[in-house]
Amino acid sequence: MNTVEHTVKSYDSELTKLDNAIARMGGMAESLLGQASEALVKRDTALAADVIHDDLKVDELETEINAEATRILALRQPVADDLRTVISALKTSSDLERIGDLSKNIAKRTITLSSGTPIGAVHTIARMASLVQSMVHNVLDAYLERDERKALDIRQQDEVVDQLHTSLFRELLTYMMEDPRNITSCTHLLFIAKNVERAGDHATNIAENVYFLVTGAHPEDERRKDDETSFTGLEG
Amino acid sequence: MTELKESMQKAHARLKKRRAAEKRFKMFGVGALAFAFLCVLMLFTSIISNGYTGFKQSYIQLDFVMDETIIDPDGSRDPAKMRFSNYNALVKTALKTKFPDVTNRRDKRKLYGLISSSAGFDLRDMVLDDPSIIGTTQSVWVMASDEVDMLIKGVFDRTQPESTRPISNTEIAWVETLEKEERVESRFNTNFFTSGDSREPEQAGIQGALVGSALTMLVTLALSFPLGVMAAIYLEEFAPKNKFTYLVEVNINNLAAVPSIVFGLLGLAIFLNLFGMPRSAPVAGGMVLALMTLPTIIIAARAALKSIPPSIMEAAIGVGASKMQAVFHHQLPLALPGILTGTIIGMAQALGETAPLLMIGMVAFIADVPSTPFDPATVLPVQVYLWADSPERAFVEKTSAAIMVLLGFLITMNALAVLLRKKLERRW
Amino acid sequence: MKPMTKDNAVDIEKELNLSNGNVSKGVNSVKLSQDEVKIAARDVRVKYGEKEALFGINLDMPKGKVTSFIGPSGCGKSTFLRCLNRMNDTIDGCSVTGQIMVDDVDILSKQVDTVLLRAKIGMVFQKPNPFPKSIYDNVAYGPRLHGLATDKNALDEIVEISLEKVGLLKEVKDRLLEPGTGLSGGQQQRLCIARAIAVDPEILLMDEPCSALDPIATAKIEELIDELRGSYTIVIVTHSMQQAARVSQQTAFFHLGNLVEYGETEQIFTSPVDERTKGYITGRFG
Repeated sequence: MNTVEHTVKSYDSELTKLDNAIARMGGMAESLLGQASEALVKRDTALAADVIHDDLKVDELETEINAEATRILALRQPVADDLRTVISALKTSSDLERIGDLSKNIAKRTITLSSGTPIGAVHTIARMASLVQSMVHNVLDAYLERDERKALDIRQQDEVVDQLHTSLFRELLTYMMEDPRNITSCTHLLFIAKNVERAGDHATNIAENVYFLVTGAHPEDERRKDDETSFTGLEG
Repeated sequence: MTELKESMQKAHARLKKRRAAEKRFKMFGVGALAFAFLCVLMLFTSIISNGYTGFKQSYIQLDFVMDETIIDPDGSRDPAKMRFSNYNALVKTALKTKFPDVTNRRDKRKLYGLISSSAGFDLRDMVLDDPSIIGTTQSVWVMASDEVDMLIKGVFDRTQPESTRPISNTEIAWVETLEKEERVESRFNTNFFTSGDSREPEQAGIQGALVGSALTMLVTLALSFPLGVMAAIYLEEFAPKNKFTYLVEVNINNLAAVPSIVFGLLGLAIFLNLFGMPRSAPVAGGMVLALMTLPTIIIAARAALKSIPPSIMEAAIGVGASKMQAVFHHQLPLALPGILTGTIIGMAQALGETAPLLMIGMVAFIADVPSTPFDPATVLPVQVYLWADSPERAFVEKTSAAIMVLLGFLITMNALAVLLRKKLERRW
Repeated sequence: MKPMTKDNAVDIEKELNLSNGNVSKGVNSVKLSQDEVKIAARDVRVKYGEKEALFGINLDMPKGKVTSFIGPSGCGKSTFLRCLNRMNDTIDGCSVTGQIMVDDVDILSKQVDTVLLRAKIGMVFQKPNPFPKSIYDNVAYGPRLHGLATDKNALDEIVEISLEKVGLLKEVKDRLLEPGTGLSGGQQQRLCIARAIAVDPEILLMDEPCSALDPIATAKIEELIDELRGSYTIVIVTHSMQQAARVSQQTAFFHLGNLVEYGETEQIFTSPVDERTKGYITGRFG
């Protein structure tokens, strides 16, 4: 973390602006995810509609960050950690934008589900979402604090999310096999669960961006993927 | 392998040849320097050996009876009258008293010739200063005549036969008598610096020439420095770059190489004949020398002005100075050391010039010391020339002594120029 | 004076009836309102003897901002800069035609007093060139020349304020009487900038001010330029496009005596319109 400022102060203020935009965008993505989950559990279509609407702001911020990063690259020719700051901001904004989009998709499906019968599995999804929310929160803290160890811890949290997703997958399959009338709503729930799991993966991406931002290298060990849904076969 | 060895040997032989050539060249250089140094040494030795005696003057002590009947016959103590009394008679009396057995008229003339004619004037001055000494006997050191002076300094050899020297044995005998009585003394010749030229070698001094030189130099400096510097500034900074200015430039450079006597002819034709300036005056001489020195100063000043980096001028103009302000606030002050060096060297050259001044008449015998630049005068190098021409043996030492003084000035001025340049030199 | 927009660029060409030689049909994408324009150049042409160096430059430079001129060697950017304070007058055989309006006054007209002009439009040169005088006298020369100070105290104040503005005061406060040439390269250049602003100009022209300086000194000068704009309109010629990118808000690209493109710096360096501009800034020039 650089404590010495650039000789040209406007350069510093431009980089700070970038950080601030990431912080804002992260906050928005985090709260969107939370709201989408809440809407799902409470079957609140108005809240879901808000989430769909508010995702636009996240998209706007991504455009803003892209423009600002491009500007800095063109005009300041950053090198070393300044360069990594700009690259990480670009990549992170893309990840955050995806998290916003995933939240929007959850909200869309929530509206569809609200007309059918409630299913208990939503509580597991809520748990997953809350975990991912805290992941996003922590990774953004790590980003702004430039703390690479904190960032790597996020990966452990993602393991739990993946495990939850695997068990939820099996649970929903069971429901669907029990009663074919559940298939529609369970399919929607499957997609919703997948969206939450993807959001967790994006948060982990951001964590790896942070590591690159601080150290200039990529984490040595492979990220553990505990999502075994790909291997979940059809059992009798 | 043998090829390599051969080529190495050849290379070695070439190296040896090259080194030998370098060594030879260095030896030639050192030899040339040594030869030049030897010549200078010989020159200085000959001048100094001839001239150092010029700074000494022999004095003879005699007792003079201040006879009132001769000095102040009517007892009026009137200075106007006493001024013209026959003091030489007192001198003759003193000598006759000292050597009473000299009766032959020719011998008497020789006797009187022992003492310089200045003795009479010395006595006169004593009386006018203090009339109370009239009637007393005064023991006074008076200047010996030039022949006696030469004898005492050893220029006339006593041991040689009489026919080889201008001083006779009888005179020598008299001098030896005086020497035995310790009435002969050699003193520092202050008279050399305090009196003007004279027909009598022992009374001759360079004050007239020194003052004349000083006045001439003053006129030269007053004319050539401002004109030269202003011309250089104009030519360098303000003159349009066309054929005409190019011609002017070429001509100025050529003028620096024109023989100095040509300037003398110019001065004669224009300053003396056309303008009717006083002949033989420092003002005319100064003007001629100014013409001579101008090209030197202009060339030196232009070089000094050119050496100022143009970035300084650009900076001044960029801040809003006009061209003239930039030149006078920045270029001129920075170029001044170079200009001064050139001026001093030009002045030193002018100090030693003789030919042009001869042309405008500063070659006359001037006994009085000039007081204004319009009085007739002579300059030091011309004085040297005049004395070198004189027949009296005593003038040889005077000539060399005057040359020593002139050289002293020239060396000092050039040393000053070098010092100035070193001290004020600026590294850009 | 109509400011240049994309729409009226064509009109101006017609108006000026440009029929002789090359016309600078450059791309101009800077939109300024009437009061934003500080310097407006119209059809400026420069000839050195018979050789033409600038072909009809049309350019509007905004007040209180930094405009940079970039381009390969010999493209005419320095020549054009020197037109802005009539420094080309000092070069024999140089003729400048056209019109350069600074606040409603055509500075190329014969009635303009160049001495007063250069007090209003200051210049900083490529190689730092402080006078071989004391630091104080360097800064005080201009004010003294133009009679800006009534007494010694006023002069002292002007010198202090100027040195403060360039960030030199703290470093040289106790050696104001030492020669200006004894400072380091970067300090000397800042001294030259102080000297230029001591006469309270409105416009500062800088001809490659950092090309003789090391990166740290360069950064300090760039920070200074950042601080000075707002109070001064700055025009800077630079060989380094990166510097132009860092320092200026508008950039003009010159090539072979023509103004090829003029636009907002961000736009020039992210998506230039003219192929030649793109070739130059990406380093694809032959």
